[in-house]
Amino acid sequence: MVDEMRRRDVDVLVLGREGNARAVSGAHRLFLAGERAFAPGCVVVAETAAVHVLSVTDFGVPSDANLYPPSWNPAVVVERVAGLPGVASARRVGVDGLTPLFETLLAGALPEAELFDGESLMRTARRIKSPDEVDQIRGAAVVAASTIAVALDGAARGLDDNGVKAVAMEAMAAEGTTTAAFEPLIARNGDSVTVAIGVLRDGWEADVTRTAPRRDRPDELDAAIARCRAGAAVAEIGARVHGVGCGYEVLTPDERLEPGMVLSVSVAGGGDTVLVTDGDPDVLTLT
Amino acid sequence: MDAEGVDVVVLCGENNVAYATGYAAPSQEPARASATRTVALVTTTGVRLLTPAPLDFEDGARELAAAVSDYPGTLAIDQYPSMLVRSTLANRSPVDARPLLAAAKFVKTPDEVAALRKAQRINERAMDEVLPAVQPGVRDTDLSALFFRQIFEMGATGNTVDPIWNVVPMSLADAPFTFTGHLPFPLPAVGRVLEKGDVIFNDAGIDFNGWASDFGRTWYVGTDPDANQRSQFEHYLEIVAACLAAIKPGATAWDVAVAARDANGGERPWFPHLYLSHGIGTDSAELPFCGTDLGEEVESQVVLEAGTVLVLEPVVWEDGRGGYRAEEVVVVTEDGCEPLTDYPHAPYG
Repeated sequence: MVDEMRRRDVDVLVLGREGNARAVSGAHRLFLAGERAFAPGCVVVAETAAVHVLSVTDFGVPSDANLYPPSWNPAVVVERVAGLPGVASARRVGVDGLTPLFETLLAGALPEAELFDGESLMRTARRIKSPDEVDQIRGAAVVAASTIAVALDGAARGLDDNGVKAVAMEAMAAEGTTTAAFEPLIARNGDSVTVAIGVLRDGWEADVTRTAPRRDRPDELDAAIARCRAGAAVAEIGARVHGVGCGYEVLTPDERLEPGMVLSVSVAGGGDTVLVTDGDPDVLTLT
Repeated sequence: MDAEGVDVVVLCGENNVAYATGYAAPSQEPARASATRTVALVTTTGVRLLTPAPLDFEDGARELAAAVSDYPGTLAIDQYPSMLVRSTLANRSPVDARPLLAAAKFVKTPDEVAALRKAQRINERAMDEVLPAVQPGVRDTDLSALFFRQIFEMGATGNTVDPIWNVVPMSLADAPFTFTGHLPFPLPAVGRVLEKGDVIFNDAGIDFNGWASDFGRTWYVGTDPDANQRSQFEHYLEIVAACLAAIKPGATAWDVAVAARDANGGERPWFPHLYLSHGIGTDSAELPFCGTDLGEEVESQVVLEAGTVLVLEPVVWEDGRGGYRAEEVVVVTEDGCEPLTDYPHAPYG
């Protein structure tokens, strides 16, 4: 992260998105569903190579991250951010969103700084997963796979959509994972029921889609996954594709795959979480 | 909008879109919600919804700017999802839509109160099934599993917050670090096995068609409360009664906080990093806030009106003897307030 900041001549990143905060700090804060307006929840300073996390407690925050305390007064939060070592002298400050209020407050607290799009840097930095991060996603994939098995069993015995959602979410939490990346998506077509499951385990996502009662994976899915090789463009995969990591990552159609990228690949009736490697793609949700 | 001299309001936040249009986004993690968001363009004569390409990229930002260009005049916006959106709308010099939204959200219509009540009922009926399972040997995440099963069977459209089953120590010395020196509530469920004698502060919130619930109780694991714990609960009721007596049209947010503090011997009976009370609507926590670090100057300007909804969450704490915390949702009426929460305080009744 800090290398990428220095390469792009970025002094400070002020991050509001929980996935960004999670990716740079490893902090496990209480999960809230849905998007939230920008607020400074995590700060990365290139000069000190320090990561600062907004949290009242150190519980769930790795010991190599620093804390700064929350306030209900946005001006106080910005003052605290401006007071972090290396921030006051920053000239180039990347943000991953903004509100009219925080724009005014940041401009006031950091009058010499230029605010610019920090999200494109975060996207680049988060794109390739380390082996440890892939292991985290593998862990999520295990939960996604066991959750969808329960969901399909439920669908096969005639549960309605609410019932399928209920047994799936119950099964996910019984595995110790209490956060859905998205709550079960259910589509019916005659006797077949397609269910998509996405979980966030310790902040890392995996998702899988299958169809009851047959449960086999569509040939089109295997064909699409076979095209998930280093060097291929996203548009060439011939499926719905997005990146996964600390949540959903948007990939553009012309983006070229590289080893270490993790993709969600789905077609009608089926989908998997796939690791791009030096060789054959590794389907993480086939367990 | 007329009052603020605004011609078009651009709403990018999903809770604001739900409030203004009734369109409730699916419940999902923030990055997915952000990439797939539906934006509302609101004028005094209508609402236009659009789901642009992801706003982190030129295509999406341009798509949004093009739609906005159909609406001349003063533009207000709730947030910039990306710096690209900020720069593509710069020529419109947007003003902040949040004061306008806050003013509108502050008073709930009868239909909105009914929606909140419906969400609250689903949350409460789910807890009926969870409570008997609060026993030694059960993991906190098992309680989450039971809760999920119940809420979705009853038609909840989302779970808003990871359910909290926060085992609290008797003494702050045994709690993780906090800047305030008080408890670090709420802590997420982590698979902790409950033990006989544990005290848990529970907190949960669901979504029903865009409207939020908020539920909080203190439960004792495998034991009946002792005399100290009973007196803590009695004191909790005294604080709540003082708050309820203070809540009426014309009272300020600060008045409610003062009432709670006075009922607690001058000490504030709430977590110092949180508040005594918050509002609730399409956001799980919104104005009015009572007892935040914004203090008297700000909170004495916030005047309750009939239709304002508050969630009281006082905390009784006796260091060395633990404490009691619960939540009561109330709506301000013409001459006082009435509860939206309808749930006993087990095992007291």
